[in-house]
Amino acid sequence: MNEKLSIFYDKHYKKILIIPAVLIILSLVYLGFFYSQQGDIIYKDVSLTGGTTVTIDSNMSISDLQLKLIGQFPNLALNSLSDNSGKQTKIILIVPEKPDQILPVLEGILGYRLTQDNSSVEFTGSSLSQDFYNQLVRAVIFAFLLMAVVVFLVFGQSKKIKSYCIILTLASTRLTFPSSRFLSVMVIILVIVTFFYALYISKEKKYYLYSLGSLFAFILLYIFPYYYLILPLIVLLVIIYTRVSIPSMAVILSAFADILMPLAVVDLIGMKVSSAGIVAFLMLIGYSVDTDILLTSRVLNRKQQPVNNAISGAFKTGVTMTLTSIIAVAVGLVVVYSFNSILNQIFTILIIGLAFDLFNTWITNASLIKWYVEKTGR
Amino acid sequence: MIAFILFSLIAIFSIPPQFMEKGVIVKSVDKNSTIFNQGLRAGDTIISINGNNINNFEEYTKEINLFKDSFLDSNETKKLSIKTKNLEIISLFSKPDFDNVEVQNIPATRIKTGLDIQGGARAMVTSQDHKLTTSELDDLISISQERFNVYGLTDLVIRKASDLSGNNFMIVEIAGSTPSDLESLVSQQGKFEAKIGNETVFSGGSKDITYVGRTGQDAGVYDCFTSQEGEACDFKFVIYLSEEAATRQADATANLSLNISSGGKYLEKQLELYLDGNLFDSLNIGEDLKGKVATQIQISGSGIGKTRQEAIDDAKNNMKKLQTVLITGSLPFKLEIVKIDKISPVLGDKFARTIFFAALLTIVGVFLVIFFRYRRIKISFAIVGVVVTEILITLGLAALINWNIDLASIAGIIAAIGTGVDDQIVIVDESRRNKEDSLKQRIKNALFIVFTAYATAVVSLLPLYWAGAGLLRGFAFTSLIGITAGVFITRPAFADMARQIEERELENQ
Repeated sequence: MNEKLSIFYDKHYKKILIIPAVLIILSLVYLGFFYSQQGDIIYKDVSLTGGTTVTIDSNMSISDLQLKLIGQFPNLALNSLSDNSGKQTKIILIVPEKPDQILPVLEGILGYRLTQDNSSVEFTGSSLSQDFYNQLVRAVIFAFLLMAVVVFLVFGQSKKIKSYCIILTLASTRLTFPSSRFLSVMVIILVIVTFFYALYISKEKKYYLYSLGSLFAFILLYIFPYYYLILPLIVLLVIIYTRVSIPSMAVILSAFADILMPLAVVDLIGMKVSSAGIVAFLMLIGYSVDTDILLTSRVLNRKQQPVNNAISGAFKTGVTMTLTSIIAVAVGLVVVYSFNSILNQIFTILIIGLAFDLFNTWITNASLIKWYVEKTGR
Repeated sequence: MIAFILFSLIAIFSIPPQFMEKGVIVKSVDKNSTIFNQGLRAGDTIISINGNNINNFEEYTKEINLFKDSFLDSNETKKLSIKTKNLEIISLFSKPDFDNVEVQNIPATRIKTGLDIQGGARAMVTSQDHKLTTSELDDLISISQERFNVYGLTDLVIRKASDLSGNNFMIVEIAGSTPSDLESLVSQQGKFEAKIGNETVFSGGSKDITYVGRTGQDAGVYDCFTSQEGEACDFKFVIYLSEEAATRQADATANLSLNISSGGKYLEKQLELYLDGNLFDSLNIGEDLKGKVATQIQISGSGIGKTRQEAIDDAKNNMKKLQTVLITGSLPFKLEIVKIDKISPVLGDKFARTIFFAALLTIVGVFLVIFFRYRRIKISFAIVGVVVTEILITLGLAALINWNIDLASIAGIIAAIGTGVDDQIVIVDESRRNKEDSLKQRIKNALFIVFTAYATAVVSLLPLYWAGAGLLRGFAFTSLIGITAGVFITRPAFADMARQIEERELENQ
């Protein structure tokens, strides 16, 4: 980092944190408002609310089609796809009704039968899609919790507390899902291993009691899942992470912001999120954490170097990483755009997320870790 | 790493390379057709007809149409010779005989594509009123399998799925074109009828068939003996009929005479079993049932094999098929289709080419960014080379285990590539700075970052394996394979390469 920038950064790094703080608060407020209006944190598309999507080869005018159908199907949505020369090739119809309701009417208007050769029809029942949505959201929470504990394990300092955190995290992840044999077996094995490890490293009596206590609590929660306990458990984990390892908390906070802000943007632009879109958010967790881990690792292991140099070195690497990802995803989006498949939404959400990652890693996380270093002299 | 590349290429393209093979591959042959009796089976490769070489689907269609057009009336038969890789069939065929055979072009690679790329249908079925138990689901799947077979649908996959809320589903996936009445086929329980002559004696459902023995004393393989061609085993199981059904049967058999050729053991007419209106099997009726109102009937049959174990397995299989058909229509729940997708196959080829093009452009884009940053051709090529290897390994593994590559899988591959490139950049950068530390130490630092990132990525992908009834499993699968292959194979290999490049540069200084 050159001299001028370094001095500027040293003077103002704490104040810079105001920007992400404001953005996070704004996002939370907006999402809260959105939730109170819509009943959920995203607009859901037909794969999550239930309904039929019909794709037909046609260059019929969609406004004409809309007029003809809107009476019977008030919640109809129509889109058109064009090829590279701008000519319309396909029409996509989305209705909440079932295929046997929309197809006959559509066939009547078009004048020919819709078969598998000239059309595609996709239908998801509303209770199934509601189920899907619940599970996908819980999968994201689950993934985030596990990611947080991995980060804590790597960058945290206290072995004992790490063990308790594992048990706590596994308890909270257990609460995100009601049942599943394989998952349960895996979780139980992990907890038992962790329990014995905690016992092994904490020979003092009081930690012995802590270990037993946490194991007991886990078993209790496992047999009687009190789902409302998940929020307090998460809060407890946040407190532990912050008290024991600020660097971990910095990474986790940036990762959280990396999901929160794109979510707000997605809602602002009115995007209807599909099941693939939620998977994109899951991908974001993995992608965004990479740069944060790089930064934290470089700063904490920097030995004799001044902090600013470590940060700027990491910056060069990290920006290259994020830029290659953005270019790869942008190219992908442009090329497959005309097929209008689930890839479109995945790529779009990824681009938005990666852009925010640039901000959150190098402003939010960087300033936080610098603050930590300056304060503790590590 | 080279070993893995070769291995993957072989897995994808198979040896000898499939895209170089000429001919058409037989997708299905109707079991009741002349041509089946002549030895043609699904999976055979047809290479010539009447002495003319067949290279692809168009040529096959042309030859068959020529043959069909040469018929003056539909009752005559004409000679035709077909050569496959393994045998030659020369026989007389009639005009409609080749309608029973479906062929397709030999696929260029061993990679199987999912429904959303090659077209097809997928239906998810569950019970309307209560949660299906696993045994109910197993029954449903067996019945559906038999019904689809009888209907003529053989190129399909039926699997169980459950989601994380404990719901169980049956998922039916049919590649290629699907019957237009798929919904009714899937959502209804199927109709089973047992007829003597043309009279229905009893039908599927608990009204007529009150019990089908499946375990213990009521069903099993009970006797085996050696025959001329090998081993044979007999099975039997009991079924209970209602009074009404038993009476109907007594009435239908009362006036039948004995079948002389069987030595008087059986009646002259058989009990014909119909599934969804198609004849499934015919059973001999024992002479002791003539005119008798029997509510408890024993059904028996046999199985054969070259060894005793084969014969036992065959007998068990045949028994299971009969039991399955007899419980058709008697499942105690109503079915509901919760999801059905019918995808037009037109998307297929074009999409595959577009994806390939996108992949190419992406690699070029990534190459440019890397080159712009490092200004070194060797490093740029190394990174791109490793990325391509990762893709190949993922595809190779998928081809090996016959995993269907669908859109979710493609998204997963992209995710893995993105992470992969990131990790490589970390390694390159780490090895180039901090010249005080040994090169070994620097690579170690880099790998620390890489492994941590890997761990977080793995845990964030795992829940997708079960969430959403496994529909998004393709994504989890390809990502996990990609990043694992990355971390354990290409990353260390790349670290080696980076080290070599660095050392060479040091020497050149």
